[in-house]
Amino acid sequence: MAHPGMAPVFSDAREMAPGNYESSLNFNMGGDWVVLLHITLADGRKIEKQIDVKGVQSR
Amino acid sequence: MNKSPEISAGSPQEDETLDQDEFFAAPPFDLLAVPVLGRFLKWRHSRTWLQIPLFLISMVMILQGLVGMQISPKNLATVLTWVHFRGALVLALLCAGNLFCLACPFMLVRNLMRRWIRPRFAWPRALRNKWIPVVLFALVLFAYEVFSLWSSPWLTAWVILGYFAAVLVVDGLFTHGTFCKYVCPIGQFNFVAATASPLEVTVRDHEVCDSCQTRDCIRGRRAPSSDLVVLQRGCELALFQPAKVGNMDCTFCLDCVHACPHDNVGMLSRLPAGELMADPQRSGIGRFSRRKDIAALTVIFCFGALMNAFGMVSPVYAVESWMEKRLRIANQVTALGLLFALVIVIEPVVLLGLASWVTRIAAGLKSGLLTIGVRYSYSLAPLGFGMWLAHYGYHFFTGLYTIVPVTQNAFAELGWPILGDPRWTLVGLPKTFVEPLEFGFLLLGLAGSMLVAWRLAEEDAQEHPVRAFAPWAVVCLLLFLCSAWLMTQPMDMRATMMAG
Repeated sequence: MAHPGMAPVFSDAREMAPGNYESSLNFNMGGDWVVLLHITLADGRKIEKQIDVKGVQSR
Repeated sequence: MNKSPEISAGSPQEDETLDQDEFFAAPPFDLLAVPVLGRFLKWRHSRTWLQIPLFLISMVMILQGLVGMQISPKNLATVLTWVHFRGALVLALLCAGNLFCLACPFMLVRNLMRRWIRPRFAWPRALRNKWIPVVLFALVLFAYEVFSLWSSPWLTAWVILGYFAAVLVVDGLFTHGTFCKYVCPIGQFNFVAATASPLEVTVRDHEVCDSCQTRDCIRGRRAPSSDLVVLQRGCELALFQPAKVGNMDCTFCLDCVHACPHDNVGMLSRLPAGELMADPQRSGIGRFSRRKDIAALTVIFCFGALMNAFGMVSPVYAVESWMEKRLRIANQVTALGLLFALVIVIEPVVLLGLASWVTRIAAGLKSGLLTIGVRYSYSLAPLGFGMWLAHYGYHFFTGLYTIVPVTQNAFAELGWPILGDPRWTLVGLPKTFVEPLEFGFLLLGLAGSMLVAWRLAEEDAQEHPVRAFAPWAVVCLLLFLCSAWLMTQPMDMRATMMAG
């Protein structure tokens, strides 16, 4: 959630096929979200990726 | 309190009555008389020592806002500004008084500047009112929505930097406390909210002031050798303690406390919002009923609270979308601008105008509509404060612990992870605890506003106070219901400019 102070949502990704990972996230609030991927590669290196998800609407 | 003549001496009822008499006759609580804390506050350099930590924190916020990770919930600039600072500010106003102005970091820098740069100009007479801060306050609220300030550490850092720059420019050019009194939008927010605070910097014993020859509380304490040398400045906001009423324009800077040679100024308890129930001549201000500018500030304070909360919930989309279609507005910023104009200008003009008109007709008042509207608009201050408390309190409590992982993250970003890995699961208090608190704040505000309106009505229409009171009670109830409805809406944190 783009607003500071809001509860983050966590989820682990599962490997569905080689190199293919899936996870589900519950965007529990309308607004702009930031999805942060914390990835540990096979050789132990850690990388971070950011995906912006804008304009999530409340139900 | 009158004692009943039927009650015999020594009866339990009389004992109880006497206890109540003693309670009401008891001297007010004085924060400056509290051991250790009072002594610290009375120390001449106490304000500086309160300002230094806030200054250092603001420097860290600027630094991380400009160069740190640009993810709002992970950056100290945004988390501290929009969650902790705002929440702590309103809670301090509720529990004590204008403590942020007391520890204002901007004034620390300004005082330092004035060691070398002496301002040469007096603030123009035509601008010695609250019209500039009224406009600035509205613009700050609008900018917050339009630029989605909460979602940008970089912009938040620039807002803080801009504030420092504005203080230095204004108070570098103009004498006394010009920025605080005639410019600062945060200060004006604090002044209006502090009318409902339980503490007030005021005179302990007026008889002592009657015999005072020096008036150091406003002139400043001068050196015995030369009247031109000021050892301790007096009130920079032109509040003469013996004639000061209430918290309007008082920054709690304690200059008067330090200047008074008789130790006759304290930080005393009082009835919150009691200062709004009467309309005496106030030092440095005049009568509230003659200050349209302060009335406008109070109205913006109250309706701005509604708009600020409305901009954060889902229905705002529907309204904006309706406006875009109906009025054929091409962009979201214009729609938001119109919405602002509707909520903080047109709506209060219509509501307060109608209430004034009904008051005039029903209670048979001879005053003009504007005079009535100005007088009663001050009754909205407690309710407005309740709305701000509910809104900022919500973010503060639900995001209370986020300061921990964000600070851990800040150290980690510096390559110095001494506080360990950020514990992002630390968030705040559960909503089941916070939501009742929100409604409690709203109810407290409603009760305060109703009480103020009732006392004003009693004075205006002694025969039929209900007739003068009823229209304002309806206005307060409407605003309360709107706020309560807003609190039940799902939050929707859109970022207008980015999404648009």
